[in-house]
Amino acid sequence: MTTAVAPILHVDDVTVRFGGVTAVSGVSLQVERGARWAVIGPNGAGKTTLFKTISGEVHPTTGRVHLFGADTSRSTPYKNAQSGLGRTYQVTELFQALTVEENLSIAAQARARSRFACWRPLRIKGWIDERITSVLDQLHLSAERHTVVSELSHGEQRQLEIALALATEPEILLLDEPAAGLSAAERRLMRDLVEGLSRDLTIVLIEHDMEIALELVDHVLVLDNGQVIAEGDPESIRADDRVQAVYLRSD
Amino acid sequence: MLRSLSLTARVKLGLAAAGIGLGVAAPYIFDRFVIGLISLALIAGLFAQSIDLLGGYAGLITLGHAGVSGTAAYGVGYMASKAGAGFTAQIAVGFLAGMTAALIFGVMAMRSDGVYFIMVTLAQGMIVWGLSIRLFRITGAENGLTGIPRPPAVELYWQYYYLTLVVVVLCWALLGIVVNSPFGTSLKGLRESETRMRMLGYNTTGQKLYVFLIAGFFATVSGILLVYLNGFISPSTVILAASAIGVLEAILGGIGTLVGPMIGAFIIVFVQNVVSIYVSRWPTLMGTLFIVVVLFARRGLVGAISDGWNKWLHRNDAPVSQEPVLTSSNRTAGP
Amino acid sequence: MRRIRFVILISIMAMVAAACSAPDAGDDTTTTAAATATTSGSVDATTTTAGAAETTEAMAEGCDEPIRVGVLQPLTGGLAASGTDAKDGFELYWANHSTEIAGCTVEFRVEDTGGNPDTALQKVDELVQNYGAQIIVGELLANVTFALADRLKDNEDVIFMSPIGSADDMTQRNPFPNFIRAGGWTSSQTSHVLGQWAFDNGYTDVASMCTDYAFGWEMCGGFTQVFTEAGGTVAASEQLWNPLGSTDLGTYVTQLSGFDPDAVFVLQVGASVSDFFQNWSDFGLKEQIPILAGEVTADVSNIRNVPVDQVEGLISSGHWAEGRDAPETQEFVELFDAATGRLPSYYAAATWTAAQYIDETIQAMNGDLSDKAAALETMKGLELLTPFGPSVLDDYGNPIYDIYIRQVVVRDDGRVWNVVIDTYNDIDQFWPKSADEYLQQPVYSREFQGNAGG
Ligand SMILES: Nc1ncnc2c1ncn2[C@@H]1O[C@H](COP(=O)(O)OP(=O)(O)O)[C@@H](O)[C@H]1O
Ligand SMILES: [Mg+2]
Repeated sequence: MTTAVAPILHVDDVTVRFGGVTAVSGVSLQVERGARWAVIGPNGAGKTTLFKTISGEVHPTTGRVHLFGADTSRSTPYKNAQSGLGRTYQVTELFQALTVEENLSIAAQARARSRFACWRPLRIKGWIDERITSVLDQLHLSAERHTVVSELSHGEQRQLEIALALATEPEILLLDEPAAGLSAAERRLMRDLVEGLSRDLTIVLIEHDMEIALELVDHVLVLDNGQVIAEGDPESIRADDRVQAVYLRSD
Repeated sequence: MLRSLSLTARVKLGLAAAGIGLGVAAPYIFDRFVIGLISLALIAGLFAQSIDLLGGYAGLITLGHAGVSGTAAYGVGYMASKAGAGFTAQIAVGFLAGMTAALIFGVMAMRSDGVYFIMVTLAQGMIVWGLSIRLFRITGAENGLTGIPRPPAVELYWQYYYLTLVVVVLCWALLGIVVNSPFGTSLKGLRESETRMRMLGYNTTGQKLYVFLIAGFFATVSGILLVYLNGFISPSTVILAASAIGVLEAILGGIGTLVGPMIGAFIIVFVQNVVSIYVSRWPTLMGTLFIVVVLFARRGLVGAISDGWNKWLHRNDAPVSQEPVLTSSNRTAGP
Repeated sequence: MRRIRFVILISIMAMVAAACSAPDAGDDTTTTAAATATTSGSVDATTTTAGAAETTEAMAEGCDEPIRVGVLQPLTGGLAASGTDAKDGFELYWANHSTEIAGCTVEFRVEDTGGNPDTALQKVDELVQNYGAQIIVGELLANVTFALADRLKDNEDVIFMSPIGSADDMTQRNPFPNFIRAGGWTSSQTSHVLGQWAFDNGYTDVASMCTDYAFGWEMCGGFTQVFTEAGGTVAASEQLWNPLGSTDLGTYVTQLSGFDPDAVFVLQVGASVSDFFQNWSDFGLKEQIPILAGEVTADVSNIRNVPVDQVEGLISSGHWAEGRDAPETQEFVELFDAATGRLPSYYAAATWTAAQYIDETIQAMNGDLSDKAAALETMKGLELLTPFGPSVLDDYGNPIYDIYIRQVVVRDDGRVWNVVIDTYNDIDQFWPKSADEYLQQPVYSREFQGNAGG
């Protein structure tokens, strides 16, 4: 049943096992439209696996996932993307041999019928051009429009990660450690970029760095060993002893 | 109009014009033997281009493509030699056979990638070969099918050459449109990262089937051209080596381009048929050439030439300075 | 991931390249003589110069132009060894016979087909149009021979001789007007005789194991039909067919021993030959079940690669027997052995004989080959004594030979060869039937083996 008040994302008691390893264990969460969430926790806590379960890259062993009010527990990434899910990768996953513009035009057309057109040349005009220009603007990549991705710096590639997802105009965006591998200065830039994203966009952010994460969101989920150990607004998480303990242990 | 183009574009245009001019004039310059070879090379080139659409553009390396072109050729051969049908029926059945093979193979292969894709297509090629030597009522087993005359209008060698030239140039143009289309661009995405493509909303399985069918169409055309050129079809046309040589031609000329496979095909056809008259160790020569290209010109001859050309163009430029990056320490690993 | 893909691709390519450049039987002469041997190409360097000098000396009166012969054989690729034998046989003939015949000079050029019809078709155009060949001596593969015959069939200025390519239908149900098999044979021709011999020698229940392709079907069908029509039994369920090129024949061999036959008819080619004999002796069957081999399987080009004890005593039939005790055979065998260090295979004997037919035809036509139809008729009318023995041609252009029952014996020098233990005289391609009766039936296939028992 889809109702007007249904959350945009509902993870219901999801467990994911890989053979003997339980990567995610009984996790539940409900993300409302327009909310900003962070999922934090030490390495190996199960954050990325949770994302994969939401995107359809991995199917839950038990439990259910609902996206946009529909059960997507057995769905596939491309179907979820078609209905408005965007996701970036912790380990950069770009079209390395293509230019920034080509990367973005592939992304921009991903949800348009024209992606099947093979009988006419690709013209980066009209709405595609507008969308590429606006995304580039938003992520400070305009100068690199015609650069081949493999020649971008690591920081720029991380920015393009987000640009690619944005170019599909998603309604919900999963950001998997956007600041991974960045220097302190670059992290601040990245923080600002994420902060500046449209408030209409629902965001779930994985961030290892608790400080950055807590500044950006209004709701936090803390995972350890696949289990939710705390959940709440940034203030309460900051104050939570168990969270502190986990973070102290891992550092 | 011409002035608005860059020097590189003008050179390309000039070369294309020269190529077509030479193609048209060839029967007035060369003897029948050479014209036969050019016809064969054009057909081989189209075949290699269709392999490159899969391998070079979409990153789907196939070792069974001769199974598609060969099935089309057998379709024509069967209708001509065993069923005694007219040319329209021959060509129609050729297309039907080739496209059916492409559809079946595409469905079989669309869920795999990388090495598995190579293996699946390899097996498909072997199946066609196996059938070609077994189904003697249809294929004439390894005796092959003889008695496949050309349509009267293109019966003479030079007439058939012109037909081949026109069809191949047309297909080349069509391929050019395909690779530059939105779909063609998305093929490059498939080659670079299938994971990302799926996450962006592309049904990559369907995409693979689609490109397999498009490549199958051009392979079918090449198979039909070949069977009328030779007037003959036998299992040699569908052996593994026939598919592998197509891949080799694409690599030699330069994958991910359309002109590369054509150049590669001309080189290999001429080495095989002309150089072999004078050099008995021609396979060694071909192997050496191939190894040299793979080692020193990863992007094939076309890649090497375009690199050389760009170097020459920019010979007076100051050394390219690296764009300043955000920070210098941005490659440190995560926490 | 992409690196792995690249490495795999390269290794596959390397394999293909290696297969294409298979070594040619280990003698250097082939490489040097292969390509552009013009006038009289020959088997070793010394005779090359002698031959060349000889031809330039005397430009004949009878001919304005030399009579040119184009030879097409696979000199590279998997069949290079056989193709090289064929080339050497042809060259050896002209190194030992004058190329000045009836006032005309014979020239020839040998071209490599790589075993590939596409290439063969290009090269034959080259030979006919540019080189001016009036006679083409063709390939050893059935498909290439068919392709060439089809290409040449409308050319009234060319005679196409096929001394090796033996597909039955080329001189039976699918003949070509200017095609002649002088020096050649049809696949089932020699098997027919082995079927009769097996029945005459008391075998009643025979199983078979043949390679699953047209040549295997024809060889096997020839044996099966004559043997079963004489009264023997070959149960259809005891006819095994292994894929072309298979090299793990153990399971087939086990199955054969399970049938407990009086004998097994075997036709294997290429790498399968030594694998078969290896398995046969590993399973200890050599002493238990006699093998009756098809001609090519027991050809010296194959058995010389098999350990002597595995093939000694092997029975087969053939139009060629290098151990046949007759001067016309032994002179050729000794010449070939001296020139190449190998005992001649039937490939070599075939092209030598084709050359002999060319020589005799030019003599009989007094140097004038302009009328190819007449030349073909003349060739068909010749009665020659060849290394195969006496040879005449039937109306279809296929030889009528003595067919030999052969046995592998070890020579004093340790090498193996086939000696004659029985001879069936004047066997044509239809024997023991008449042509009319024989041509009623379809060509042999896996489905049609002519099995009288059903
Ligand atoms: N495909 C997989 N197969 C087996 N184990 C996996 C797989 N993916 C993740 N894991 C394991 O699941 C756990 C959680 O991993 P992950 O979700 O990547 O953690 P995080 O993103 O929080 O660092 C780890 O122990 C990891 O080794
Ligand atoms: Mg992670």
